[in-house]
Amino acid sequence: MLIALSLVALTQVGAAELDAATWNTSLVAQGWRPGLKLGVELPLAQGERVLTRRGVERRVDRLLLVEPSFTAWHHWGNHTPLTAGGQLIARRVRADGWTSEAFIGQGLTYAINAGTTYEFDDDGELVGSAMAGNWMSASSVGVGLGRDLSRSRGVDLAWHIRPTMTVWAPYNAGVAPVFTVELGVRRAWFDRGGR
Amino acid sequence: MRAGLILVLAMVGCSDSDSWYFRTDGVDLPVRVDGKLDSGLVLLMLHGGPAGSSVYYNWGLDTELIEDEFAVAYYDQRGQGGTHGAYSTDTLTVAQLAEDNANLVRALRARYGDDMDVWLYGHSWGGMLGTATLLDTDADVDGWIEASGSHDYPANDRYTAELLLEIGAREIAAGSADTARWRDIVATVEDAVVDGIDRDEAVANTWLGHEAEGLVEQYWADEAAGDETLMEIVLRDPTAAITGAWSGWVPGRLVDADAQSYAYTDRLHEITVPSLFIYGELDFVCPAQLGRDAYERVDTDAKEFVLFEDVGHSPMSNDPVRYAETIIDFVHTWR
Repeated sequence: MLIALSLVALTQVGAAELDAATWNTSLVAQGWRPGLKLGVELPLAQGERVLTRRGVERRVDRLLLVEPSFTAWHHWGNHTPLTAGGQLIARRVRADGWTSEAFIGQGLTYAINAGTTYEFDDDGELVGSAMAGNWMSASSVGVGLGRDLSRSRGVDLAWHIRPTMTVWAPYNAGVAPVFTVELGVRRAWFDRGGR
Repeated sequence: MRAGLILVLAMVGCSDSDSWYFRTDGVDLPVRVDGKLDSGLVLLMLHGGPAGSSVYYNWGLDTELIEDEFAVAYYDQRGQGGTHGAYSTDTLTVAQLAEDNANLVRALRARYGDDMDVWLYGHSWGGMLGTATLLDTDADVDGWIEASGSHDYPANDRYTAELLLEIGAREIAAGSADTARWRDIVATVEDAVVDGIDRDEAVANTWLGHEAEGLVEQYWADEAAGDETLMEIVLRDPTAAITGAWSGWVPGRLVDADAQSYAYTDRLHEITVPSLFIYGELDFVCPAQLGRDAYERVDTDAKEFVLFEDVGHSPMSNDPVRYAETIIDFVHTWR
């Protein structure tokens, strides 16, 4: 729904007001397995909506962003998935800085097996590789909550938490769901010319 | 503090095991070898299931005692636990999993020495897989240990029904505290037996068998957990809970469906390697009669059938010391 609304905003406002990118770096946890995500948020569109509740006007900024990113985490004894991909993010930012967002993503994962992977070569010799792994498509969907601290504390930062469900395919003889949580910090949008 | 240290070690992957992956026919199988490689003998553990993981077998006093004597290679079967890869569901068959075993036997020797003795050691579903490996592949195996295994699904279904009826009647006659439940179980099984047990009924009976194990009094030793803490066991589990359960469930169902028609009883005489059969008297899931059948048919003098009285489907948990000593003594005698 947020994405749909923001696509409407794209036609209303355009992306002229947000012409810069901002960095985004996050800690990622798949269960208790640690990881890192590095991304760059690129603005596609910006708009605003004024809501009136009990006679009080509240402005909500709406952003449509695309975030190319690189994500990795380490699952001991199992594998280290490395994912290059991107997310399309629809974000709403209230005047007090609280943000909510929804996103979809698509990426390509190469999961390096833990330890050495051995296989018999054509000559029947057992050979090992430390980088052997598997390629998978990674389709994701998730939501996020956070706060733009430039509005609440005058700090040029924002934080977010994003529970994300990713589906890997192919995974064994089918697909596999992977649940991660991303806790991120990014540079804030709103005190540097965007608005 | 200690738990924190364990967590840190687990997160960076520290371990004194030899852990590696083996790639064969499109699948990457996680292998973990514990114990004494310098014994010159490795037991290749075939876990139960078929939707399972070797992790469930790599803990407890029995493994600690066995690993003090020999090496044990634990691995997750195709499509289960921590396996990876991209392959067709057409490969989720008993024949392919047996071929994976045969290739892994070769890999163990290639990695640890051609003179390494390799024994197959299967529990429950691992009994089917080990038997298939022995009879349908060219695997060069030095010995066979079947613990509470099923090498004949149709016979297994009959024996499960018979044992549920036998023990059910006994418990009802004895005025068991669970008499009402036993009456339900007996009635359900009798209905199934009347017109022949179909697959759905057999599966239902297996679940009744698991339940029945909880209704009978079993012998339990106190020391089954061994020295490892629950925290240590959980933290070294390389299986992703969600992905492991998801990916294991579907392949497990497919392999189990393929296994329905597998009945090796009439071919057990083709087994000529030293063979040990360990079964629990109160095992409703894979009844002891399967072990007696196998013991009578394998074509070797190096064989033994050991019945654990008042024990169910997991004798290694009920009586780990006797269980481990039975395996250790047999292997030392016949290797």
